[in-house]
Amino acid sequence: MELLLAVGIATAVFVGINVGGSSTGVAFGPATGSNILSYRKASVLMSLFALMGGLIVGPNVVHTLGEGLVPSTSFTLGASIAVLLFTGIGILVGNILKVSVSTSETAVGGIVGMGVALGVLNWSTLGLIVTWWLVSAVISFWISAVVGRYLYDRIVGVLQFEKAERNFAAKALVLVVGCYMAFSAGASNVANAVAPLVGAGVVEITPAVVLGGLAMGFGAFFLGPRTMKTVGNELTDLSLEAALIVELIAATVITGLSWAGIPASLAITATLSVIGLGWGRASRRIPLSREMGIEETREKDVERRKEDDLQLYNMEMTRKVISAWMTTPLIAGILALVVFTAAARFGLL
Amino acid sequence: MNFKYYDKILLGMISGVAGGAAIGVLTAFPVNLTVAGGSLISTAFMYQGLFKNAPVALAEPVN
Repeated sequence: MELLLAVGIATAVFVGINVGGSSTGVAFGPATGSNILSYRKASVLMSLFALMGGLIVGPNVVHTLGEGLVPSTSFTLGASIAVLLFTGIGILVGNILKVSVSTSETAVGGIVGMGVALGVLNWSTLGLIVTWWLVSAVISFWISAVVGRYLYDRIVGVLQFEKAERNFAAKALVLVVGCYMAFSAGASNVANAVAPLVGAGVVEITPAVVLGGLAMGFGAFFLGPRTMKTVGNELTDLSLEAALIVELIAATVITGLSWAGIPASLAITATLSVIGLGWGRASRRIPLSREMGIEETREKDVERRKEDDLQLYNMEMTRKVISAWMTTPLIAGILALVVFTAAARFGLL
Repeated sequence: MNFKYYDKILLGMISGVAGGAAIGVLTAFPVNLTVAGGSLISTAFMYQGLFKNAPVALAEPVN
């Protein structure tokens, strides 16, 4: 029994490290992408604030994942290890492919796979979670797109970050918001690593979230830089103001949903905010003739397009991340479904 | 008023979710279901704006 517990904890740590790596990209990608912070300092802040978030708000999500989707009696120690393994593998594949994986989606996928195999899945809870994923995705994209299309220039004008004397205030602001983001990451994602163990009753909730938080911190150092680069640089050109707006929107949506116990996807919310802001700004820049549906292209419009190298909206990258969000939970879910079905059939459970 | 294309996309996007929520609250239909349905509509608008008719520069020949 002792050995199994050790394996269980090791697996949870494995997941926590991968979750930390993933979440760091989302939390500090914008800040490092606009060159306010080095990767190392971002990792330090990530560790600190994720731990806080996990401690203060994390337990709400742990309850949902640990007993809301499947009865906690289904989480035998063996089952917990299996679910955590599948979750971890799904996230690891994403980290290796250098895309911002949704750790929450993957964790839910693994648990759902198990629930379906054993016939104990609470479908209405799953329906609730999936609905909220869609709603939070739409809302965070929409708010950012609206800000990008109608308010961005005004905000830049008000903040006046280009003035030298505003430089310190600007950086401080983005840092503070980044920490808020890290907090929400801990709140939302620590459950992905430890909920099954808590469900199994082998670890109490507080030591569990501490363990998860520390593992996330380790992951922030180990794997964070990789994902920070993806979110910050490759999705769109991020200015200071943009980083601020994006993080405020995403962190608020996530903290709110985590507090309500919904295992919302930090990756999806934050990434869609980044995409939305860039998209909204880009929607201002296409030639008027095209918006009005007129076929002819005036020469000065083509000139403007050629000069416009900002790349505010990257369609290929967007397509890539959205595909990843659809496949990683499937990987975890199908793995879990197959293994648990086999285990049940062979009387291992 | 002169609504440009992307204004309409954004309007449609929020109408899905907001409309779904409103219907759920104001009628006997369960909110979870109506919001879920509404968000599907919103997603369709997102697809339109993100992929079908994205604000990207086209590779057009210059005469």
